[in-house]
Amino acid sequence: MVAESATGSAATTEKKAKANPSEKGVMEFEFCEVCRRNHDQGRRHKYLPAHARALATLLAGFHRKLSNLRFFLRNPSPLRPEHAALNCLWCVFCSCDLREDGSTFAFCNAINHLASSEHLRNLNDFLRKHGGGMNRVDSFRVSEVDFLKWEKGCETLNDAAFSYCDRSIGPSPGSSKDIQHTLTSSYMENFEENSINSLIPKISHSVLPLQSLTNENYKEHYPEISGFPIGGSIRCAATSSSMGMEGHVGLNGTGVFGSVSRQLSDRQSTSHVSNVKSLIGWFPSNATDPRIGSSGDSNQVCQANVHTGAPPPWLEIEEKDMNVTNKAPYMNGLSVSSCNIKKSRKLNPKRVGAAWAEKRRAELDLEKRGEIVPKICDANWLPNFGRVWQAGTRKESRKEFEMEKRKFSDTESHTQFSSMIQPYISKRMRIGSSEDGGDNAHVKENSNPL
Amino acid sequence: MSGLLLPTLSRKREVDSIIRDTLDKVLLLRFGRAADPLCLHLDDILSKSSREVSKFATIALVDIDAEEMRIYTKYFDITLIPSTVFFFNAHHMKMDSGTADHTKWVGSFHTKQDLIDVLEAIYRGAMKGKMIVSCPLPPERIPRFQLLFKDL
Repeated sequence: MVAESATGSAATTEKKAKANPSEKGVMEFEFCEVCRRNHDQGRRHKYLPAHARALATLLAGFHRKLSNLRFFLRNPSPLRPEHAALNCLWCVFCSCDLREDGSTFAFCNAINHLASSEHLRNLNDFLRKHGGGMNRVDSFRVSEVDFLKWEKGCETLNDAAFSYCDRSIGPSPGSSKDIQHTLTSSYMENFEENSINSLIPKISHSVLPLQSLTNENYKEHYPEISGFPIGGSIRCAATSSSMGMEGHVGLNGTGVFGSVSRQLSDRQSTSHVSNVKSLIGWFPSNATDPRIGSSGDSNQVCQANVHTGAPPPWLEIEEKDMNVTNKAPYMNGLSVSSCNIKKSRKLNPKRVGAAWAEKRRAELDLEKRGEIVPKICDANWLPNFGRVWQAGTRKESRKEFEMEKRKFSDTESHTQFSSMIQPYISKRMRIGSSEDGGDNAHVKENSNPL
Repeated sequence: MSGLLLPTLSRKREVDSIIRDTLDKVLLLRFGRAADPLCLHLDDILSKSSREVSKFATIALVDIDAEEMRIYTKYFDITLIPSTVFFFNAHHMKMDSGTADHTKWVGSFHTKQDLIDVLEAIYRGAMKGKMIVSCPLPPERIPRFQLLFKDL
């Protein structure tokens, strides 16, 4: 495509340059897609700092988008047609738009493309042409292992969807009692039955007190379910959502409808990841009394608890609030550090030891957050200190002092060495030994009686 | 009394860490011993004003008799006590007070305000990138000592 044509044109220019070595000095203009400008710098263009900066920004942006995609790669989830527009991706290496119109799973086309050999080829060409490190190839594509896993996950989801369709035609009212004996695969069916059971009496009798009870329990169940990471539950939530909407149409005053509409607005505004969370978030509000009746069993089947590493309820509620304001929890730490940065920006950048302060502050921040182990400084560390008679920088005076110290310790050790090792030998004996041609044995013999 | 209010450092690692970790603030290190009358006077002034200058300065006392402090005593050429050394972002700050030694403040301060003025002058100078500042105090309020240098 465009990238290929660009590489092709680059190849022709190289050929021309080889063919006419006399015209080596005059380079032809070519367009750099990364910097988005024409240049005549030839192959050395990719080493220029502006190009490197633009490339880093581009790759970081693509990486950010891929991190979103990787979530769906790990947790395959069905795609609702209204979300198809949110799932489009621009592949910077192949210069093509990956749309999800008509695909059944989130990022289906994109994942297929990123795992393809054509993408790998284009990626290699791009990184070779623009720099950026060939060792990063794997971070911009989907490996075969991940792709196979994702395909497997999609298949299981498809199977589950088929069985769900079969069962949803005629739900048996007594089946909710069998929850104890069902396993994860059949959980969705049970849930679907539960929700339908709960909706039928609500629509016919509109029992309001029961609804408030449900809402009380909702808080208990909500975090546990939202912590459940398997794709199956996501699918279940998504499919049940439409049913829930129908069920609660007449219950405006109960507060449930309000929660539904709020969640829907969240869903429209937030990204895919939070999207899935919000769908799960109001999933238990539909699961009413039959669910509560058999809550112990269904919890065992699908819900994460403290042993499976799910966050506690109070944290989950905070997280939900954060989602409402479109802020991920980890942004909290960043905002604190950004406050620090703002504070330090007010200070004069030319103040004494500004570089040291920035570096040390960053280190302390990381130490506080536990990302790095606090470094124990060298026992011989000394600050820069300008001495009375010093000339030059303060670092020099420190070096001077260190040299003095070393010299002092050397002389000290030397005196110790000399005092310890060299015994006193009288002059006469020394002369005698030299006369004997350095016969040490003779000296020893003489010295022994002494 | 002052020992209760101000941290007293007696290990090299403690001094190292306070020099390294005091960021964008003036660090005042008082080298001396608590039993000395002039040190007591200075400590009293330091402890009284430490709270007032806490936004732009940190004050710590260093016990000169500690074994591990010998290296700092030698490095900073401390021959008289009390001697006060100033740092900013792990950089030594000098002060030209008309005495022979610009590297440290030897002796005590007359009043609390003198100390605050000196600290403020150092902070303002350091924020402008100056490694040496001139003393804001009039000469009669600066203690004079005859410095005898060993090698001269």
